[in-house]
Amino acid sequence: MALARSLGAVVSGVSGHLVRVEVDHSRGLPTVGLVGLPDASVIESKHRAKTAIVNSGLSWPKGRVTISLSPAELRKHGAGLDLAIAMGILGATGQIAIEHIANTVFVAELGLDGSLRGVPGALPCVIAAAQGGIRSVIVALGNLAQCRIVPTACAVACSDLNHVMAYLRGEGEPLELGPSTEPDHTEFVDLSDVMGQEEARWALEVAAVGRHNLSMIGSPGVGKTLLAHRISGILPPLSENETLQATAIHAVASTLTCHSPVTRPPFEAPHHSATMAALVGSVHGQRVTPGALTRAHHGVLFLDEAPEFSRNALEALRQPLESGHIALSRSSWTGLLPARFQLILAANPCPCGNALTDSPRVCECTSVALRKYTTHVSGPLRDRIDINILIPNIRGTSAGESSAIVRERVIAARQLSHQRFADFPWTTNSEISPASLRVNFHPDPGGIDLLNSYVGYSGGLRGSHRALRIAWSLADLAGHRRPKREDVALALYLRNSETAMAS
Amino acid sequence: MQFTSESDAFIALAHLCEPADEAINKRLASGISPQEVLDMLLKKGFPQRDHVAFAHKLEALNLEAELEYSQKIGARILVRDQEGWPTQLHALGIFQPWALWSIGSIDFRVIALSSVTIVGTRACTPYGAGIAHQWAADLGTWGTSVFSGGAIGIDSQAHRGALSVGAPTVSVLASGVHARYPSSHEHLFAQIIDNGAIVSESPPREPALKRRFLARNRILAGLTKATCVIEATDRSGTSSTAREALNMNRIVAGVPGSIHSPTSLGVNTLLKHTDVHVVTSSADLQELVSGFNPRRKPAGDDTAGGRPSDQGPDWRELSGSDYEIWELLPKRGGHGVDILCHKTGRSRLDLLARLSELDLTGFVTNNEGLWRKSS
Repeated sequence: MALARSLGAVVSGVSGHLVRVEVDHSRGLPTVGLVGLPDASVIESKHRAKTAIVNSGLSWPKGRVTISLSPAELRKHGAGLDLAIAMGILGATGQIAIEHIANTVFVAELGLDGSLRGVPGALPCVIAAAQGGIRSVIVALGNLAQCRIVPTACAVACSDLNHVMAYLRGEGEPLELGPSTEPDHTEFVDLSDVMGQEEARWALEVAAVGRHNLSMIGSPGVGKTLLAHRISGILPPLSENETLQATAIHAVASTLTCHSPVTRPPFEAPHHSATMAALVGSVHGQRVTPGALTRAHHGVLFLDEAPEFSRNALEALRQPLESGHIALSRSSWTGLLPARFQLILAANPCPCGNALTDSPRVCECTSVALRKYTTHVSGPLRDRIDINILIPNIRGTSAGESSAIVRERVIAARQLSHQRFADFPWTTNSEISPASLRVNFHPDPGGIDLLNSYVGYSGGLRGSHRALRIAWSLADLAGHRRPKREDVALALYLRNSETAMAS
Repeated sequence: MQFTSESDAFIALAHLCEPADEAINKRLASGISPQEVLDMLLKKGFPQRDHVAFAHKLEALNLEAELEYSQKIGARILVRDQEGWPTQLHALGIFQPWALWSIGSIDFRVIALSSVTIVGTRACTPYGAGIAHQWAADLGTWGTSVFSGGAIGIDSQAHRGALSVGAPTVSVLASGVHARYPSSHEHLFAQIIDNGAIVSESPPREPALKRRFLARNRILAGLTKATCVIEATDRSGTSSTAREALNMNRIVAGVPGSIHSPTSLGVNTLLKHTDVHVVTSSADLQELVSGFNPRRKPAGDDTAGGRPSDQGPDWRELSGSDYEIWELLPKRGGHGVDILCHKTGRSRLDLLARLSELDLTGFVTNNEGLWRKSS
């Protein structure tokens, strides 16, 4: 007749929360009571735990078992508490010493034979453990790779209940990761696949340096999609902190390939039929499924055929583009989902795709259809696009530089901006605040001259801020200490070259 | 209901029947008064017409309230051949409108004295849009006002061009003056009302029905001295405006376009007609309307004959290297940056930076990646 405590963790939104599992074993009718706002998947835990304990050759307590999940007001979901509950029961019945389980976080689902299975969202749980000051975490082998990346926690994997017991007693070694069998396909997507299109490749490079949002307009088959898919190859790898956040999101969304951490900027390209829920994220009970916008956190969101997306879906981009997160409000869950992504849009010049004068065919769109198409991406959203380029039909035959060469230049330019932002909260040029653009990050006198004439000409102040951020990326690429007049001129060109397609 | 005056009867006709109704207009032309025509419509005077439906419509019409409404929104009503009627519409013969509603800050009959109708396709290209805007602005500065139909495409560019130099402009609509179509041009219409007038032969709240667009074209052609077609497709409503103008022996002009461009097919076909003038500049058009060419300097006078579109940037201001680039560019078509790289030996980014600045200052124009001298 005893009380035991173990630790588990659950996911809420895309972050983990530590859960203290208290198990009391007392005299009485043989029942199991589970309290602490469990949802259906947590209630099922007691059946899995019971069968797993019995099938592992351990004994299920006779009498009354009360399990309390604390904090009691937090709603809990998912099968990740199975192992914590089973270990609590084993502790309460004296089958394992209470002190062995009190300072370890258990995150795994149990099979009926006692084996440990991976759960979605194990990584945020390990992060929560580390933040709670607990180093020891036991997970299933399938979750080990992603959990290893938390530097302040020591995650180990066990195969089944008996293995866990043995490990905790100091009698067994944890499982080790086998060699990675994940095939690396990234090398097959290289920038040198794009023939010609020097200007578009250059625009992509500038966008990669400053994480500027980019819009590409061009006839069908001119290489817009090909180019966009190659941006992850020229972006620098994620920092340690970014890797943690991005991997946690993909762990919750169950979109990790082979469970290895996300070390390269994620690339999300939802189909244009995507619903609002698929983009911003959906909530089922307590379970939050991150949408494409959140999965693109620290990476790239590519909307191919942008005008074909529903207006609602497109307008949903505005909040995250401005603030870097989505404030999701549903009846059963309200909270913030991170979504700081670089947006890339691709579109045809018109519904039939032949509106450019050098098209092989003649545009047959009616004026109304054309108008509807070109105004589908609303002004406010368009305003948040930094670089607008038009991809002409002129096809080159020479292959350009490979992704590796371009990436090196991008990384070098990024390092310059990192040094510059040492005393500022930003990491990339696209984040510089308007006030700082005036005070700390203005161009050299020639650049200021040109920018002022642009403001008077047509750009407006906001447009000039965006142009100046691009100018910084150009300066970083060219190795200039401050944007010069030519950097500003090129930035203005990149900002507006799409309008060369006229009214 | 009996209408005491002829003008009330004409306004009632405008409310009850579609404009340019041939059978009705023929009766009117044969000396039958509009009151009698209404009576005939009611009493089987027109075979093959549903006189019962007409009776219901007549029953439902509250002419007093309609007139009050017109007054409330500030619409002025002119009635066929009554006081104030624009007499140039006599050229329409029996197809004169029964009544015209107009709103705006300026009397359209006054500015119609020196005016030109500019029409064209809604699905215009940058070529036509640019011409419409520039020419309307030029004509505006020379004192010729532009009439058009308020539609998207060429029409709106013409209105905007006139407004851009503060010149009055008139929009003749197929809808009523208070149910202005297209609604996306509400802002433009508001500007036109402030700086010109909006005219329609349909009562203020009538929608723009399809057949009313064709009927409207005859008024556009009839109000002004000349009609100029800028871009028109093969089967464009624009051609009907030109035909109406030709029938009235008005001046008709067209802007030629590429024989490969589908948006110029209609104009090029029109230009085969011997009575149609080819115009290739705003000055040509101004000369057709007013008889003098604003760009031809009178002998011995160096100051007269300003050319608005000549007030652009002067290439003499260009620095040596910029001049070199500018000089290389053609006036039509354009060069890609690759060609310029090859010809100048300068780097792509260097050239793009210069071109971007020259674009800002108005020396060069970028069209889909091809650069040319600004005209």
